[in-house]
Amino acid sequence: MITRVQTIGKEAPLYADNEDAYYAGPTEGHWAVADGAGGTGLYAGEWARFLVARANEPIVSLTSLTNWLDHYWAAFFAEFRPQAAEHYLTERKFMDEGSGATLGVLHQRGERLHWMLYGDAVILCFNPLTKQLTGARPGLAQFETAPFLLNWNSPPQAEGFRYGEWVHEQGNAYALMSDTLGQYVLMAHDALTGNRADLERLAQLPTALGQRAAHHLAFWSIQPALFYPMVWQPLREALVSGVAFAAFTRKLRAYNLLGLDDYTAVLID
Amino acid sequence: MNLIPSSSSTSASLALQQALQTPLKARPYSASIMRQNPTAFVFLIDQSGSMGEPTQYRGQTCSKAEAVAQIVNQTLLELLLRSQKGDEIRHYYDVALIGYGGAATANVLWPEKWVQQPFLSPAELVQATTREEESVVERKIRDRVIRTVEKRPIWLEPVSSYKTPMKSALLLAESLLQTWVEAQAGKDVYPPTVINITDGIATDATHDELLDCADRIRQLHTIDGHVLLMNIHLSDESGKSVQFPGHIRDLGDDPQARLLYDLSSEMPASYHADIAGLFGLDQRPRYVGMCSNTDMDALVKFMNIGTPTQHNQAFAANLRADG
Repeated sequence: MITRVQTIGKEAPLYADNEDAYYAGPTEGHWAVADGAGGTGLYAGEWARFLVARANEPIVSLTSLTNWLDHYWAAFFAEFRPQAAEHYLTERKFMDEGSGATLGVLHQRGERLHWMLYGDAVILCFNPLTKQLTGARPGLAQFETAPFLLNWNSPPQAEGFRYGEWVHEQGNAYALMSDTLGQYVLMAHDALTGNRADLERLAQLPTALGQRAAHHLAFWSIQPALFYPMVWQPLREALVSGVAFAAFTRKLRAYNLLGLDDYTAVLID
Repeated sequence: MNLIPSSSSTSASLALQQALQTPLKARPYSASIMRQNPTAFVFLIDQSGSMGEPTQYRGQTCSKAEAVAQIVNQTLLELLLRSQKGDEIRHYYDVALIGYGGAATANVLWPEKWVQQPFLSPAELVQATTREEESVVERKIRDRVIRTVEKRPIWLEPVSSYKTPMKSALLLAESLLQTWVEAQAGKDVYPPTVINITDGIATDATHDELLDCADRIRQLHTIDGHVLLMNIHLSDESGKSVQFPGHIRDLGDDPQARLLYDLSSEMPASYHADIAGLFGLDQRPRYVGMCSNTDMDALVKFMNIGTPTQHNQAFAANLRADG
């Protein structure tokens, strides 16, 4: 299988900051996406990069996630505490709030794909032949509230954790995405396939999320067959280069179908 | 530069008029708060003589002025912490701090070096402290106890003196916000929030004059929405406390409470769930941004609603850049 990856910060090209991180190791069968939560604590991007590089083995339970975090947190804390201590504001924020990130990891072991989610990262399995899209956490409700975050300062919580397996079938494609890009794919899929109850409920919310749901409802007509050519394939083609990915996300933004955020996609097919 | 407008009828510039003619977007109060488009906060602090009266805060007796200073300083620190990204302090807000009491007119309360610059960016705010207090803090992080010396920046000192020139404060806020809104013309910028903290009755204006001032402030807007004017009336009396009322009849006959109700903005729908949750209120179709006859604990919650904190999901989501 071939892995395609792109990532871009929300304020590009004006600012280069990007708090998303990814890992793509097709030979090891290890892919990961983490979304550093800039609204919580400090060094979110660094924490996201730290996490994706260390999720080498399948994390199959909350206990194994807790043990994994217990093993690694102190190294991150030791590395960044001196930097935070250089100013009283950074020290206070770092010590009070830690560093937060969502995490999605996928491991291939033989014919099995083990996925683990913490927070609102998105992992999808799509079969272009059957047009079946399966989400590790399929609903849109996950985007309504602040996500659960992995933080070095505290153990993970059961409510934020999700694990599962898929058996690989010929032609299956897999995607890991940070939340807002994943949200776009799920919203477009629900709108195109006529599974519109969640979108219609969200569209009533007086928020940017509600506005986006309303735009998806208005933009897409119910035509399930269009998901592949109109949503999946353009995303796949946009991963050919950073320029193409930037143009792709800009276009979706112009249509009000994509929220403003850092964007990362890892696509394996 | 004279910051205080000379009369209540400030004339809007052509640029401001053009900015105010731009229609609001369909779903307001949803703009992301980012470096390219910061929002603004204006804090109006009553520093009249009655603020020297005692109150209870965090289990201790202190003056109202002391309690308000602690709470405002904590709020400003929180705004700074929200702006801290990595080792950089980002320009997410412009912040103005206005005091009214003592003298006949309101004043910007920043130290002398900054007093001609009413709006400070977070990076400037770090440098505009009057002093810093230090204390030793112990935190338990996982299985470790870590001791640090923590600095607490001070911007607002407790002051209580003489009269309550609230109209002057509103006029000054209006003047500052006119300039600010004018500079944001055509941009999808989260509108400014004004938080007025008072324990008394204005000594420089009639109710009608105050209503005119507040109305002009609330009419200022960006594409993303009108300026939010929130008022909190402090008291230690045991009278009826009203928080974020839905209707003026909720206020009874208290003329001061009814005035504050009329001065205040209706809170955007996106704030409703957080207001109801934090104040333990029932679900209502509308909440007006005022609290009457209330204590310091309510002021803390009020500040949490008026500024993007962990207690305000909706506002904080705008700062997370994806609501």
